[in-house]
Amino acid sequence: MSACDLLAGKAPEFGVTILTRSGARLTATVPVPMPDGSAPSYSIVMEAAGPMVPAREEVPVRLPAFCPERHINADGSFCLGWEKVDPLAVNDESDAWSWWARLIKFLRLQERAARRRCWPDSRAWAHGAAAAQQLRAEHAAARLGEPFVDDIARNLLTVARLGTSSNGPALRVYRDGVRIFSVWELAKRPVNLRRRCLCKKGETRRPAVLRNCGTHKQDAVDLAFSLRDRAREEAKFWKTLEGRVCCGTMDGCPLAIGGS
Amino acid sequence: MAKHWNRDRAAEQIDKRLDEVETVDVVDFKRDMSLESIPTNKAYRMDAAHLYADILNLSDMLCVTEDEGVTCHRRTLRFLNLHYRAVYRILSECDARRVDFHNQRLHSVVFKPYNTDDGAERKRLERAVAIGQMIIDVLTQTGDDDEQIPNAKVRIGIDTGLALAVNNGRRGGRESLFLGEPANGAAKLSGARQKQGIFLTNRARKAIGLKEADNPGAAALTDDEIAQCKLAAALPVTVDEIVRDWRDDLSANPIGAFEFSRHMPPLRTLDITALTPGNSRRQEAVSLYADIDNFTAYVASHVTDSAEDVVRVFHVLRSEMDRVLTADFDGRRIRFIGDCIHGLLCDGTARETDEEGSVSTATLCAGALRSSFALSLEKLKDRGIDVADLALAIGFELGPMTVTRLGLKGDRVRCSVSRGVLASEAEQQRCDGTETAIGLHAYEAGTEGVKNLFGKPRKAANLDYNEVVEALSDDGDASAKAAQEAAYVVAAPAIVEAARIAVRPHALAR
Repeated sequence: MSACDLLAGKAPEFGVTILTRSGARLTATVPVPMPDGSAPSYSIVMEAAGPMVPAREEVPVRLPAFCPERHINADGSFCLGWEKVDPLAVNDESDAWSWWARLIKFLRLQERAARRRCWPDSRAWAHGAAAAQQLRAEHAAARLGEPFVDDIARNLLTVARLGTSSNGPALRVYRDGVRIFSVWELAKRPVNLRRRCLCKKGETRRPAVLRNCGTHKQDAVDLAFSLRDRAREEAKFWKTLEGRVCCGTMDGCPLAIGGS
Repeated sequence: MAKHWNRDRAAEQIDKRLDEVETVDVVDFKRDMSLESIPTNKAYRMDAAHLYADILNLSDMLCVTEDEGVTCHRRTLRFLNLHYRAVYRILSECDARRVDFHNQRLHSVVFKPYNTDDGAERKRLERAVAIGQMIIDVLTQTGDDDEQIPNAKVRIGIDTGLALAVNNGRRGGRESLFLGEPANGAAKLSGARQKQGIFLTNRARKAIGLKEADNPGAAALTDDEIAQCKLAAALPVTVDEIVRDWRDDLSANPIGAFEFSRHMPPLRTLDITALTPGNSRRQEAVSLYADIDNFTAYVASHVTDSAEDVVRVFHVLRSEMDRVLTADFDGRRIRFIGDCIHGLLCDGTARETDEEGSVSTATLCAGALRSSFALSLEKLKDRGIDVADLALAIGFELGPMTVTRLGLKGDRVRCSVSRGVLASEAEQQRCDGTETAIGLHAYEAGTEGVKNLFGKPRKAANLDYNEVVEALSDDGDASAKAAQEAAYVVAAPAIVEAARIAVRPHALAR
């Protein structure tokens, strides 16, 4: 069965009405149930290319035609996830079910974003190639354990590049504005290896030292570098979009700031 | 059953409220009219002096002990009760009308002499100043040394002008309420600072022949100015007489000891009219304030030409706020304070409050209030009623709450006072018309979802019902998940399941 067949088969479970079917192209009316009992309706076009099924609003009525902050690409297609890690392909019925669930949740997030004028949660991937650095940061955080996992999930960590020495500048990592550790950029090692480890073992009465606590000295370096590179990739992403017109639906959008 | 808000249900109720005020009658208040039981669709334009008296040392009473225990609440309520009784006496002897006692704040109006008399406005203001001074003087003598109840420190704010007298309260509690700049101006002056004295707005200063002040909130009337007002007003009673009568009354009708018990949740079923000092309620709960932003300016710009719209907007918005709090979230309205509603919410059992659950319910309720407010504005506009830039500021806090009634038998005023009540009002006051703020104790008791929603500033904008339910559910909040499920199961069973998947959208540079 093709991806379109599979999606058409699962559509009724979600209250979706398939309007037209022509080859690998489907059009559908998708109701998006909200907690208040309302269900705004979207006219969606899906054009399958093998198991991948990009979707977009048939005519941009409820959504902007293009908005990176709302995860809508320049061709109007929705970025429902990051292909590298998210299971977006539709190969069987279970995938088709997940695809609809993902689309409806994505559209519900859009309803919330329109109201709040910002993306409503911190779960989205960073833009463009910055997503790869975000994934790297998540892996490093997972190895370090809590609270780093939560910090990354809530976007609480930032990095600043400061000073210079024989080891090069230091990358200073902050949690909610408070410095937590630094690494030498050139030497690619923590500034202070004799400090308590960043993990839970560093909080005990006889704390583990960063130098000797498994892979954590390298994990700290990975975390700092991935935060640095994520910021760089984000900047590059917005640079490539210079000159594009902002849709004006999100506060603080770099396109609006760059265009003003 | 999960407490939740539904758009269609709200729309139906708002339509009913709109129908109730389709025809509105606004007339000038005259000598033969009564302010008792004003019908919902009627309002009086009234020229009067408005007086607000703020007891400045209420929070000292509440914070006298480290823990906010029973003793602290008993003493605070006794403190208020003693002073309420004294003020009641002054107002009734001096022909002024008490509008409301809202914890530490008294609002009263002096509307006599009527405008048919020469120099009526000046006379009303002189009378208001004289009454204000009498309140200050009397309340310096109405403490109770035996019970460690201090005298009250009072700050008076006075303004004058045209306001709309409308019906306040619902069903049984129909009292008059005044909307407009003079009520607001007086309230702002009395609540502006901690300096004691009598403060007049520039409008009021001008009307009694005083020079306008650069900062009226800092320009207390001088002893000479007050003396002149007292002389002109010639009040029919003296401070000594009031204090003597107050003491006689206290011996004849002593204030019983405050006894507290819990009310088994939901608080919606709490019958406040049955409460007395000896039968008061006290329990951990959430106090919530929701205040209509820009309403005073709205009244000022509509009072002359389209006062009917003021009555419509006021009736619809307040009724709907009350319905959401009570019917949708099982809360208890304590009172309307002008364009603001104060209510309590509590989840739990007869023995114990579920603090985390109560905070989640309050967060959902705040979202629902905002959604209902937006829907009400939409429907008012659909009927051609101007709503200008009205908005809603919401604040709430968790803590031990009291509910009782104070004052003289037959004229008791409902009262809910605690540190949490004052804190929830302060939270509301730090919001603009798009924001909701949560107090520190509620934040700390809240689920991870609640903490993430409000963040470190404990304040967030545009939190409507959908946003609160979705955000809290995604973070595992049980109350929000129950509300979400109740809504989605009606749509399609797959939607309930689908709501649990995590979506992490991306964006490409193409």
